[in-house]
Amino acid sequence: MPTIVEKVRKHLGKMKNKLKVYRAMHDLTQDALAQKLGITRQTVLSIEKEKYDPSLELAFKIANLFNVTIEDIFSYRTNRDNT
Amino acid sequence: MEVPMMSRRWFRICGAAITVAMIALIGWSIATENAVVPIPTVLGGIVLLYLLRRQVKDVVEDERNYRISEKASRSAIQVFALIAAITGITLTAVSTEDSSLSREVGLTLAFCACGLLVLYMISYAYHSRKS
Repeated sequence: MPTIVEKVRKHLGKMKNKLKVYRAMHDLTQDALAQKLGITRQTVLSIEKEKYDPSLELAFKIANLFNVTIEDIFSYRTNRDNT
Repeated sequence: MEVPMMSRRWFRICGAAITVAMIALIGWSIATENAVVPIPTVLGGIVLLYLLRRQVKDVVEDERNYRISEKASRSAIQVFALIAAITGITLTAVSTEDSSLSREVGLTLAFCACGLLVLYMISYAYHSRKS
């Protein structure tokens, strides 16, 4: 029988994003994108590597910049989705 | 006169140089038992860093930096409070009548830990009410 910790772990998910793809589609460097969004290049890098999940405000800014919806760039996948 | 804008890299270099100079001056004043130098040094350093910060054209800090600062502050407070409280209580407990210094140091550390936690609670309550 799975423990509570195992049950919680099963439901824990991870934010995925296609920022690198959209940045390449718009021919932008990390520096240029960072300047347009008013953030540092390190933050762009961290988001692309999925080490850092941006705030809702920044996610909206990114989506607006590329003229798409947040769901087009960001998605949330639980472990159950992957199996 | 218009002052040229500064890049983030130069700001970091200048900031580090100012900090090193401040530490050197404070260290020198301690070594020479000069109590006047540290106060203007710290104040001057803060003003200089603030003025430099205003000249930076790039983004110096963003939400990721704030989040990292939050986590770093939280863990620093936890570690300091724990170490100070344990050391303070231990020193106070093991002090004898002959070793009043260790008792004073112990009490100071314990009160520092308590003060920090009280300050944290007040700050937490303020920010909790704000958001």
